[in-house]
Order: sequence, then C-alpha cells, then structure tokens
Amino acid sequence: MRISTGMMQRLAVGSMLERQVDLNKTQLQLASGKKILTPSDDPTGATQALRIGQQSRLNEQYQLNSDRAVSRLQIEEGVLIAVGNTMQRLRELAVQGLNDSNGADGRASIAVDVRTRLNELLDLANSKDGTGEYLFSGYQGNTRPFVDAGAGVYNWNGDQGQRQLQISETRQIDTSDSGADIFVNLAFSGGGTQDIFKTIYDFADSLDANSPNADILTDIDTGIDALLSTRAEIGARVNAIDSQKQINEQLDIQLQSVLSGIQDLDYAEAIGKLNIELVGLQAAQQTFQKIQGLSLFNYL
Amino acid sequence: MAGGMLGIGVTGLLAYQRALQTVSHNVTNATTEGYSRQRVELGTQIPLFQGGSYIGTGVLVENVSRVYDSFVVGQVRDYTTSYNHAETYARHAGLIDEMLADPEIGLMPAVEDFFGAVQGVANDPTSVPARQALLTQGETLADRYGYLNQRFNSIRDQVDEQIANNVAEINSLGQSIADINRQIVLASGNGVPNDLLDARDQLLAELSEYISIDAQEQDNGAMNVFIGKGQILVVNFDAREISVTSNQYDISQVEVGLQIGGGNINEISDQINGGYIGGLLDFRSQILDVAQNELGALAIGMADTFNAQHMLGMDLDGNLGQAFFNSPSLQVLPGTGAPSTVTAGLVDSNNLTADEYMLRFDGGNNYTLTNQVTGAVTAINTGGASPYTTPEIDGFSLTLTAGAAVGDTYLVRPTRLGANEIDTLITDPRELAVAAPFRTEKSLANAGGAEISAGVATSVANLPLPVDVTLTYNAAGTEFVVAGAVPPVANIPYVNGGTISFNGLQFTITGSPADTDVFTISNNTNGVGDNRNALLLSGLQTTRNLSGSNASYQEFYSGMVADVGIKTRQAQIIERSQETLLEQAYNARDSLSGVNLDEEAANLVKYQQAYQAVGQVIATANTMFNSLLSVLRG
Repeated sequence: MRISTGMMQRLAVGSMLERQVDLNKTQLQLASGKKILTPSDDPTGATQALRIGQQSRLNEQYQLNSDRAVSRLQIEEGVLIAVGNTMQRLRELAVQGLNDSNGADGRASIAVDVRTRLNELLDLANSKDGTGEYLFSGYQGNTRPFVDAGAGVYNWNGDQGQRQLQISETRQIDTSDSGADIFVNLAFSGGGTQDIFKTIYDFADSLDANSPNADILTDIDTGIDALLSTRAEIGARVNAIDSQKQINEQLDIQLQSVLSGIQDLDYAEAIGKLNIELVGLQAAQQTFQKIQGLSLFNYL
Repeated sequence: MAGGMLGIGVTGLLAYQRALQTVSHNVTNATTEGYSRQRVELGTQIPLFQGGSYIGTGVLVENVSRVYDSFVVGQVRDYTTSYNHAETYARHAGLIDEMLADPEIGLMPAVEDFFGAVQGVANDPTSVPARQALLTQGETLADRYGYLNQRFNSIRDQVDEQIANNVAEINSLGQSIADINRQIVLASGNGVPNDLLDARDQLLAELSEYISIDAQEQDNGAMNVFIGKGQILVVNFDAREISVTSNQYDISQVEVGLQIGGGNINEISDQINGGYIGGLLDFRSQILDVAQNELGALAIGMADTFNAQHMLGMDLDGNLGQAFFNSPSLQVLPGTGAPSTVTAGLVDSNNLTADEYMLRFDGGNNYTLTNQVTGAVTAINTGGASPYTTPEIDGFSLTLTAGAAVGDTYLVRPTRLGANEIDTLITDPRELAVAAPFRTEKSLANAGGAEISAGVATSVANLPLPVDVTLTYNAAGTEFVVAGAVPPVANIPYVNGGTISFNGLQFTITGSPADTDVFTISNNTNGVGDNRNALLLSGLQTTRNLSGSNASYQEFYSGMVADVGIKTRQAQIIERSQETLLEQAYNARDSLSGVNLDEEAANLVKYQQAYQAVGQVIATANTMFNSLLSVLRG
C-alpha cells in the first residue's frame, strides 16, 4: 500500500494522543483512588454504589437509633429500679404495720412513713426522660400522667401509647412503657383492678384506723410483679437491640467491602497499567522522532 | 538534422520544466488539507515521415491530472458526518454523566440527609431543633432538585447556542460552495481546474462535519448540495439559507428552520441528521430531555408520596398534617395558533413516567393523545362536556375545555417542571405531622387478654373524630359492636389478628377478648410524644412507591443515572468505532491522493536528470552545428 507523508504524520500523532488519553484516565483514577470516575465507566457499578451508599447511610442511622433506644430504656429502667426499692420499703412497712404487736400509735407513725413513700412513688411515676418528656404518659409526653386529686383519687392522664424506634430496615422496638400497665391496671384483692397509689393510700388510712388491710401484701406483690415483668421486657429489648447492633455492624462491614470492590481502585493493577501506558507513549514518541527524521531530501 | 535535435530538445526542456513545476507544487502542498497530488502525463509528439520511416519529434505534456477517486472522497465525507455526530453526542452525554457522578452535587446525599432528619424527629418528636433540622433538610433537598435542574438548563442553553452557531457556519459554507461552483464552471472551459476541485471537496468535507449532506455533481461541473430529506442547500451558483427558529410549543427551545417563502419558516430539526448539529439535536431529545423529565418525575413523585403520608399525620398542636412540599405543575404547551384550553393534573405519581405526549384535537368531541416515546395512542371523547377531565392516563389526567380548532396540537410534558418547581410549604416546625391522628386503648376494666395495636390512619376524611369510637365485644356473636363511628359502622366479626379498617382507621386486635370488653379509639389529643407518623415517613425512603411500585426514590434516581451512564458509554463506543472508520477512510484517500515526499524527491531527481540529459542533447546539437560551420569555413 502507498503511504503519504501526511498519513504517516497523522498516524504517529494519533497514536500518541490515544496513549495520552489512556494515561490521563489512569492518572485520574490513581489520584482519586476510584475505579469508577463517571457512571459511564460502569453503569451497573455506579448504581450499585448509590444503592449501597444509601443502605450504609441508613445502617449508620439505625446504629444511632439503637444507641438512642438503649439510652431511653436505661433511663426507664433506672426509674423502675427506684420504684422497686420504694415498693420493697412499702412492703416492709406493710409487714411491720400488719404486726399486731404495734399499737395504734405505732401504726399511725408507720402510716406517716407509708405516706412519704407514697409521695415518692408518685414522683417516680411522674419521672421525665432526658428531653423533659414524662416517661410513663404514653404518647402525651407533655402531660403529667398521675395527678393526686385528693382523697385517694389519682387521675391517670396518660394513654397506652408506646414510642418505637427504627433499629433496622424491618425492625421497630418499643422504647417506652405506658404507666397504665405498671401502676394503674393492677388486679386488686378487693376485686377488679385498682391503681397502686389508691391501694397504698387506703392502706395508710387503714393503719391510722388501727385496722390494717391484711391483703395489702398481695396487692403490693402484684405491683412488684408488674414492675418486674416490665423490667424483664426492658432487658429483653436491650438484648434484642444489642444483637441487632451486631447484625448492623456486620452488615456495615459487608456493605463497605462490596462498595470497595465496586468503586475502589486496585492500586497495584493501576500502577502496572500506568507503567505500560508510559512505555507505550515513550515508544510512540521515539518512533515518531525516528520516522520523521527519515527523508530522501536529506540525501539530495 | 541538428535543427531536429534542437527542436526535440526544446520539447524536452519544456516538458520537464512542467514536470518539475508539478513536483514542486506537490512538495509545497504536502500538508495542505484536502490537496490531491498531481501528476504530469507525458506523451510522444507526432512523428515525422521522412525517408521511408517515422522519425520521433520529441515529448509533450498531455495532461496534468490530480490523483483522485470520487468514491473515496465521498466516503471521507460520510464518515466525517457520522464521526462528528458520534463525537458531539458522546461529549455532551459526558457532561451529564460527569454531573451525575459528582457525589457533592448528586441528589442522593440530599435525599439521605433529608430522611436522616426524619429519623431524627422520630427519635425525639417533641424536639423543636430536630424538627427545624428536618425543615432545613427539606429546603436543601428542594434546592438540590432546583440546582440539578439549573445545570440541565445551562447545558440546554449551550446546546441551543451551538445549534445557532452551526446554522451560521452551514450557511457560510453553503455560500462558499456556491461561489466556487461558479469559478469551476467558468474555468472548466480551459481544462480541469484541479486545485479548485480540491478546494471544493475540502469545503464539502467541512460542511459534512456539521450536517449530513448529499452532493450531486452536475454535467456543467457544479456541485448541488442537499441536506435532510432533500432540502436544497446549494444549487448551481445559489445557496439557500437555513435558519434558527423557536420550537412551536416551547418557544425557549431553538430549532433548525427552512424558509419556505412568504416569510414562513418550516421547522426541520427532526429531518436533520448527522454531524455536529445532528449530534446536538439527538443529544437534546434522547438524553437531556429524558434525564430532565426523569428528575422532574422523581421530584413530583417524592413530593406527592411524602405529602400523602404527611397529611395522614398530626402536628404538635393537634392539627392534621398539611402538604410538606408544594405540588409541581404538569406542563401542557399549545402549538402554534392553538388556544390554552388544556391543563394536566397529577392523579397517581406511582404511574407517572418521564415520557412526553402529543395531544391533537380531531374535531367533534374527539382528541388523540400519543405517547411520543412508546407510540401508545389514547383516544379521548369528551362526550360534549366542557370542561371535561379524562380518566387517569399514565398517572395524570387532562382537563379539556372547548375552543380548540380541528388539527390543533398540544405538547404534554407532565414531568418537565417537577425539579424546577418543587419547594417546601411548611415553615413552622410545629406543623410537622410527626404523630398519628388517633390512638387506641384497651379499657383497664377488660377481663380478657386481647390487645389492640397502635393503628395507622389510611385517610383523614373522617378525622378528627367527633366522639370517641368504642368497640365492645359481644361474645355470643363473636363480634365487636361499634359505637360513636361517624359515619356509622356495622358490627365487625372478630378474627384474631385480622385487620380492622373503617373510616380511615386501621388496626388489629389480637388475643381472646371477654364479653363486654371495650376498646377505644380517640383523637390523639396532646400526643406530642407520638412518633408513629415520622416512622411511616422515614419508611418512605426504602418503599417502592414509584414506577408502578417497582422503584424507591433511590432506585428511580439510580435508574436515571444508569440510563445516562449506559447511553454515554454506548455513545463513546460508537464514537471510537466511527473514529476508526473515519481514519480508514482518510487512509484510503491519502494512500491514493496524498503526497509522499520521498516519492516526490525521487521524481525530482528523475526529472532533473532528464532535464540535464535534454540539455546535453541541445549542447550536442550545438556542437554538431559548429562542426558543420567550421567545415564550411574550410
């Protein structure tokens, strides 16, 4: 085939330009550490990266939510432990009060103690969480759940709502308990249900009257049982959150590794490629110089 | 005899001078774009019959021809057109590809931040700072849509500007070709004007960079040039101009037009292919329009789905939720002369696509809507009603008012404005509807162990509740008797764990209720600590609510990114293959017509030697003549 001088020049320059384009791309990859510079480099990989990016971001959020859930549950548990202590103390006072060795005076002074404990119990039931919301009022965070209306009437102003937090894409966990189940909805020895505050209030009155209600221990035990079963539930939830956190952590490691496989550059490979491309460019430049130096006109 | 030698010698001197001139012309034009090497064709002079035989009389230049093959040159033109089309298309596709690749300006980080803020509110529903953060992220998200849309628009402006520049270049090249046609026709009387023909080929090659052309050489030597579907650009010595005009529907969009007399201009963009201008037009319709519509569809879908859930919730002051985002309008553009009697409205964003539609009034009560992408045709009959609203078509409906004339057309682009118009409406953090509007309770006096779920609102048409709704269990009938529901509700048979749903309230009751056990549903008064609606809002992030329930927001956006990525990649592959084909066409042409300096050097030596030899012939003739004279002088 006949070759024209312009063609030789163009081919040589063209091959140099091509090498430079390849080199430039490899250089950009090395500088960014990324295999995929634009979606067109790997459209599937680019969309996978977007999906995993969102998953990973959500996963982080779930970890945050989990920590939040645990801290909420810990605050609640702390309050319930204090409630438990008060209930134990009330039980001791009840045992003491029921003992017939106490005279009317003795029982009256026990009644004073019982009433103090009752106020303590009421305060605990009206505890707030770290953000100033009542712990046991259900959805009505700003509503005081238990109000002493006098004469042994304690109004329950809360509801049965429980706040849930999202700790994985498919899992929501209860992070609060309604005061109804802990303090209000308790089986009463006198039949039906009655709130613990009225039970204690009436007991104090019966102590003053020197005829303490003998069933008080059963009623206090019912209250303690409700408390313990709530605490057991809280413990179970915290465990569930812990194990979900571990699952999330595992997932995060997997996601990062998949993401890295999709978009991170294999430096060894890229540097090898860069070297080959550099050699190619040099070869093209040297060839150009050699060939351009050849001309019959040099010999005329 | 010496006289004959002298005469022959002179023919040689002249011929080789011409040959050396041609070599010099070739050498000096070795790098001239589009130059075809020229060749001197030598022949023998007519011999003389003398003394019974023919005696030669020397050499003559028969012709100076250019080494040229019209097929090869035509191929260079064709491949120039396809290469420049592919290159322009790929380069512009790359702009969008790069824009979507940039994580800093992509949409997903803004979407993720926004839903992160929703979770922040779910974690702490009474916190005003958390609510404020959600409002701010909502604004940032809307701004991001607007920013991306702005980038699309600025690419669109660039494309329009380049189309206008290209039209000017095409007109100027057309004029040059007409002018050179005239010179060629005039010069052809005296032989073949090689260099003018080369120059015209070069102009045609330049023109074919811009647009696909059909060049037809006439008997008189003029070259007629046609573009598109046979539109004349050059005929003989005349050039016809193409022009820039506005799209008849979207006057902001530049189109290529052709003067058709009477001051009227025909839009011919859709007939134009190849070259820069074809690449720009194809990029605009195949990538830019589609990507911008897809972004708009996502904006509309996100606003619609988020609003729908938000409006099922209750705000910090106990009011039902309002729309969080505005509802972007669905664009309908009347064609030339058509009255603005058509509007479009959103029906179901789940069915909305990025497609564009053409609506035509066929007369009577009949309209035809044609999907410009799929070709699907929907016949519309208003039944004489005006205004008439169609049933849902691909997620939207059209409202048609009388007034259109037969043949009037409308361009319906439901999603084009979505990303431009999306904005947040709520500015008061208290108005975020984080809570559910109602709550459920079991009566504390219940004897059975049945539990009622927290429930979700599916509609707020019957909320807030005028009075509490109670469900009282009737063991004999294994059913709940519902009291207080407005509108009233019949007794509900009890199925353990079955979904109970009425008046927009949805919940389940599980376990074993005792006779006369009561469950109450009431307004969520003071329910400031309730985060149920925030949890439902945050769930939207991963729910497939778009593309016929096939895509989440992220998947929809990924689809758009992948679409642009794949098209860009294809365009780059086509560009490379077209480059190779063009290179081969160039090589074929250069192999035949290009100047090789070594060859010319050899020719230079060859003709120089011949010239010197002829000089010797003349010198010898001179010597012979002198010898004769000296003999005569004796």
